[in-house]
Amino acid sequence: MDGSSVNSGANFAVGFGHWLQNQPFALSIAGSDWAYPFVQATHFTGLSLFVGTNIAVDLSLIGIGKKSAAPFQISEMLLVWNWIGFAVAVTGGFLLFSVSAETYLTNMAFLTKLGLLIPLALVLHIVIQRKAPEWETAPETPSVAKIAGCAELLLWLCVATAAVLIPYVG
Amino acid sequence: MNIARPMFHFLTFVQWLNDTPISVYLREGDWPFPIIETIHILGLGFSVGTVMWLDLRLLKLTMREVPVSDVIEQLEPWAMGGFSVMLLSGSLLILSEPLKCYNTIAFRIKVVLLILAGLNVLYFHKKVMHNVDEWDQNMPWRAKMVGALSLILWLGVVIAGRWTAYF
Repeated sequence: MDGSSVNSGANFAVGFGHWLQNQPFALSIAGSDWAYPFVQATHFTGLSLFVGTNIAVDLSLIGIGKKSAAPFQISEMLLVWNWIGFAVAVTGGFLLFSVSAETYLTNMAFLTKLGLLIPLALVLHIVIQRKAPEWETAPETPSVAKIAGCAELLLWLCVATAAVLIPYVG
Repeated sequence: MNIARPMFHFLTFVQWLNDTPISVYLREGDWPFPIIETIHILGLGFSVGTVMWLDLRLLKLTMREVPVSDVIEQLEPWAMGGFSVMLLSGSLLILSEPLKCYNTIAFRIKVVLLILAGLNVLYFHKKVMHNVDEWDQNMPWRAKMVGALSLILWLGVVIAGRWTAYF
């Protein structure tokens, strides 16, 4: 990529951000006294529904908690719900993003969170989701399972860190 | 008789707390607040994210095939663990801004909701859970009530929490 195409990409992003944050729904959230915390709460509730059982599974893979009461059965039953929680988090997140899209699109913490950390965490999460039934029935938890659990946990920690840092970095 | 009694003024205590070196450090340092906030959010996701599934099971909205006692056994320890992380990190967040918390209505509401959520759990264990083995045939209305209350209270805690941060 030469300089001009990088520039036109950046221009497109800024243009899109500008367009998005001037949409009626984004303006009405930004202009309301109470909507923003409610949208934030929606984002938080969705991410809780998603990440809560993920963390429980990760910790069990690492070997923390009673093995007899590991949450694998539940996480399998909640497979569809797990992704519904994710969808709620994404919806809330998109609304938060749209309120000041232009700023977010030039914020390094936000870009790292969305472009790098979340995709990585999601890939690992899907791998764990598919492999967990096999790992769980093994008499001894394979070391790859422990590493995967540890890595997913750390990745969600990084996602949360990046999210918290968004207002701190320019 | 006019004896000067040592009166305990809560606001005086809050002001004193606000001026302690640790509080000033947590408030003015660059790193303490974002680090503690990150831990608090992850702890929240963990505890609320396990407790809500438990609540939804009590309401018979998810995992109907799994016995209630199994769901409680598999989720409750995690919910409690996440709650301790949240409580500990939350206490530090309060310590970083005692006066602001004291003066924020949303924060006061949050504290009340947390106490109610705690009482709800206590009530569940003391008065409701004793015959949990029979619940798969017939879920008692008290168990459903505890589940619904818990859902509402925790949603309220999250909303009030965001509201506190917003002002």
